[in-house]
Amino acid sequence: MIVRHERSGGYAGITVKADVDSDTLSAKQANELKELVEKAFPSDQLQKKKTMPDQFNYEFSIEDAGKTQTYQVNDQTITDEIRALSKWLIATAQKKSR
Amino acid sequence: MKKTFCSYHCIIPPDILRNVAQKGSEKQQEWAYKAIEESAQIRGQREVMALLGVASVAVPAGTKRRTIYDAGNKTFLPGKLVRGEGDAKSKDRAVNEAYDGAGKTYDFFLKIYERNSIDDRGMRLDSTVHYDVEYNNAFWNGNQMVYGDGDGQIFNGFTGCLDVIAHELTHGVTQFEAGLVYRNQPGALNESMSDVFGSLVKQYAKKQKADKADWLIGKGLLAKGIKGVALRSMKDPGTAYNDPLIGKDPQPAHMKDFVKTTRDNGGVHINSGIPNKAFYEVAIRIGGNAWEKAGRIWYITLRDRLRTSSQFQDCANLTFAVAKELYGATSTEAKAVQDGWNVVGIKVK
Ligand SMILES: [Zn+2]
Repeated sequence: MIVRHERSGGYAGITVKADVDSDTLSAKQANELKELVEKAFPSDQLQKKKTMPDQFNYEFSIEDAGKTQTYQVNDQTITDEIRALSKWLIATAQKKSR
Repeated sequence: MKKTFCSYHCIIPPDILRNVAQKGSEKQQEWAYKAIEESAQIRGQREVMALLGVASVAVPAGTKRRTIYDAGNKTFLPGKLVRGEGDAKSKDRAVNEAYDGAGKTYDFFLKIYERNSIDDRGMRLDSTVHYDVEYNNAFWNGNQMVYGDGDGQIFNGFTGCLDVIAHELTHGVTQFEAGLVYRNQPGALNESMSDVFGSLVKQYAKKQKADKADWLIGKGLLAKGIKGVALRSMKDPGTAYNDPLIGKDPQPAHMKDFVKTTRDNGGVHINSGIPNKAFYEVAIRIGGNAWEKAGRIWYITLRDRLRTSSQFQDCANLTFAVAKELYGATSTEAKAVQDGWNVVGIKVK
């Protein structure tokens, strides 16, 4: 599974990218990622609300078994589970790039 | 029944909303106001309130009402009430910074532009500090200001900068006045207005004339070790930071470098560099205190002229028209506005 994540906007307007390929992770991390993704997007039903000033926009593209799903949320519509996935991806991608 | 009101996403007829807002139970009223607010994000609150004939009771000018909440590093808003108007100082620095910053911004808008709070009707200023864990951001959610603590690696706490606080509060003013849509050019104008008045509140607090001000946005916000002086520079867009971890300041200073992107709602924090630079050029040409003349021209334009979908060209034309009305068709102020926009590649009409 490849998860591509981008967080744009915010007061600073700095885009943060975090792409993680589960093939490059330890078995433990790969499992963590799988669980986080399942919890974050149990269905395609995401709330639709406009981004308010200086809020972040979060984009996820999840490539698994030949299929790609994309999801978009912002600070109005994000859930705790999606927030957890975003934090995990950014932390993991930063560690790998160091 | 007026059908024009709900132009795109609102499905509730305005007559019903108005009735509920005026006569419903407390719960129903709350719902109606929420619906009104959501439409207002499209139309501009001023226009919607007028259409609905909703007259909330205005609080007399000069009655400052600040409320600070603590989210306790969670994401529920507003969080726990920790300091109300007139309450003693908190032990928590962020609480006091949010309180003092909101007060300075309120005082600025009242004293300089005779504006009675965000909505010009004495609206309470609500702020939440300690939002989420190490949250690298601050935002305006349509009702209140929200501040993160920063992660200490890239960003310090967001209440530490007066211009950040004034920036967020100005988003509220824009929502109630022009209602600039938060996307593409209108969104970049929305951003620029927040930077303009954010910077002016800081300059006013420091009693700095235009040529003595640093014209930086978010100075002190970048953590130690990050290569940069601030997040944006109105004087020299694109030069605020250049760092291996966060990249280079992407702001253009001229229309020829306008950035086309889908990120950041169409680059609202990027292309705001163009109108920011125009304002700086106007303020420098007029000289003296930037909030007095250049600021007044921009404020009147935001309050009375700009519309939800206004473009940079509209803003240039309107500020020029306002300058001519305020100071005369052949005034140095009007000429300054014309020349200022010229520097960024926009010819006023
Ligand atoms: Zn903003």
